Amino acid sequence: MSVGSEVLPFEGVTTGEVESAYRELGPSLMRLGWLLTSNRTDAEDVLQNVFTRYGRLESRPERPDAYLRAMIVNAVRDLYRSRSRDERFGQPVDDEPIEADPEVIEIWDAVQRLPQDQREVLVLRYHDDLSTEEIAEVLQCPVGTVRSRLSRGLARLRKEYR
Amino acid sequence: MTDLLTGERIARALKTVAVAAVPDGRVPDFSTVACWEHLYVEDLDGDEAATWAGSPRRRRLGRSLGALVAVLALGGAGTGIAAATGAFSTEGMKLIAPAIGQILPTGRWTAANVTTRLSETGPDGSTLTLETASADAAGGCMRLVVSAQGVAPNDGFVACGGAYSTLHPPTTHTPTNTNFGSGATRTWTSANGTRWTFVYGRSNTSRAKKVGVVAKTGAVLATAPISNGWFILWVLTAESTSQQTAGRHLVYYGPTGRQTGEYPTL
Repeated sequence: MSVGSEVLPFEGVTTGEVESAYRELGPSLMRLGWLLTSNRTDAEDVLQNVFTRYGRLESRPERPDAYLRAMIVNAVRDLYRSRSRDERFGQPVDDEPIEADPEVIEIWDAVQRLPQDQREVLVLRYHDDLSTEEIAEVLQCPVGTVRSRLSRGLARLRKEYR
Repeated sequence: MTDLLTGERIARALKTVAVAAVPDGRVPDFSTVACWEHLYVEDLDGDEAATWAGSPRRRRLGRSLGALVAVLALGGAGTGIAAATGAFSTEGMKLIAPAIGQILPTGRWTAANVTTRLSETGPDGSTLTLETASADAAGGCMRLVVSAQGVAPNDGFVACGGAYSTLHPPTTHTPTNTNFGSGATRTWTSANGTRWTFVYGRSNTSRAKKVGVVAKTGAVLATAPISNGWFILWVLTAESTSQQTAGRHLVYYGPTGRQTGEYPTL
């Protein structure tokens, strides 16, 4: 016997569904986690937390991709909350520097300085290519709120970038 | 400059850095997630440990572990682990490996500066050593060292060898030599054909980190009580939150995976 897909303890959502979702969405979700945390280790934690929780769902969500994105965003928020509580107990190890052209790095630096709610919306909009309606679904908030955050986020990003 | 920062450029920047930071190959393998699920299921923080201490589930598991320990001691299997589990108490919180540390009702580690070592020789003469130590009675130091000697390079194991170390408050939190990376899974076969799978976590965030050592069917630990299809997951976990840390648990797995609900009585 091996510890592999044949002995997964997942319930509700079937093992096959979890595995399928992981294979299909895992990389993009991990990147989403990374873009929201700026840290690969945290992104892995978030990804693993999300999929272990996903495997415990009693029923399959109507739209797994939106559901999993929402879980990633919420897991990042949880991570920050716990970190602020426990921050004296350890800091994440810094990732290796990203190598890209200067403009990309400058924009990324500016994104990282945004408030988290604006950063979430911008990442979902421009990395995940979601519409404002889809972002609203992920964030479980009104479309107007998404638009507002997007607008403020863009304004601030442009200001930061300048 | 300002008006040139279009959505297209933002999208390009975000996608570029995301792919650079997380190439496809850097996403943990799904089997790792599966293993982590096992670990999470059994993970306890201090409060949970305290609650669990008096629960019927805990007592039932205690009896199971007691039986297991007896068999291990009689069989002499896996000397390091047998020795570690030998002092198991069905009454207290000595859940497992009290030579390394024990879980108190507060969830804290005790038993300082003790090391347990398990060494195995592979068919090629290589030696694998698993060493654990707990050295902070104040509640939060766990160290696991896995090293391999004589193993041919590039066989997948040396790459993940080295030291895994976590140091928690009140001093500092110092992950060292995490070269085997997060969620890495490596296998190693000992002389008797036992196949071990090591699942590594890491400890560089404040969230609980886990290091799992999975003994598969036929492993050193797979003695008589396990022969009916059960096998054991020996889990080392580390919590880095205040005043609570580290659980290590024997987890029972049956032919269909981890049994939900109560643990079986061996």
